[in-house]
Amino acid sequence: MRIRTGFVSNSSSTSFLIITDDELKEGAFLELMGVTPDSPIADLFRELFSDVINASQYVDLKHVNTRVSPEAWFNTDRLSPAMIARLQQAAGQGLKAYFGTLDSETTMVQTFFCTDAFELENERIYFNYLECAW
Amino acid sequence: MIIPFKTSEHGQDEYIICLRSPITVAELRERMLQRAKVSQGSYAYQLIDNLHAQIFVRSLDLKADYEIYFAREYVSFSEYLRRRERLPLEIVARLAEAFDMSIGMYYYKPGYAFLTDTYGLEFLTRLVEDIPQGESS
Repeated sequence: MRIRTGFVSNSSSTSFLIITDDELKEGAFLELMGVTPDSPIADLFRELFSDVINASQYVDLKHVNTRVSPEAWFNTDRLSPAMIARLQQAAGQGLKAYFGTLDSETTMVQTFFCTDAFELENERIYFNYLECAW
Repeated sequence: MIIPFKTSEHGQDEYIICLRSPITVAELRERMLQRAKVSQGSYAYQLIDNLHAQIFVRSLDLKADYEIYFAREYVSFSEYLRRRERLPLEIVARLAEAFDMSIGMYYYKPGYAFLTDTYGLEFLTRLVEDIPQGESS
């Protein structure tokens, strides 16, 4: 039996991937989440948008080396098989991608979103927010 | 009227939402979704739909609970709030005052982490309050 001493963390983090046809803009993000800009709850999603932009690496998939794994494009090992498949498909179409991680210890908004998991898509944006780690 | 307070044990934010206008749970749901300006079936729509259920379906209506089950056991609503629910005295006084004017008093313990402090109260007020600022009916 191993005994751990000291504090035990209960924090979590979620890796996300966003694929878009153009640079990600706040208005398009709000539309994907299903809220109008004048909604009284839009500020919740504006904060999520800001956190996503600040926490992500941006890659223009037109310029990636398609002979290596998408994990090399972002220098990470946290891409799920579904994310890798979407990135490989998107690279062939010359789209843009944002990859990053939000964690539950930063803001209340991030804490909330780290307790959720979802995959959303419309004609312009694909948002994978399924990779949670506790 | 929404009464926010922090629990004495862990300092968690909790709310008691008192409704004055007669309204059904289904009408409340429609009103919240309409006020939130969310697209049907979207992530934001689900969020508000769940929030409605958390408050008005799964939370305890203190007024109904007292009147239906505990009016004989406790001599007053204040006694019920203080001894059974162990609410702070200041909150008990405010709820006792609002008792006759309210059709329901929902004791909401938030399931969403962002519903804290001023932000949480403002968020709930915009969606749930009987007559929020800027709305005439």
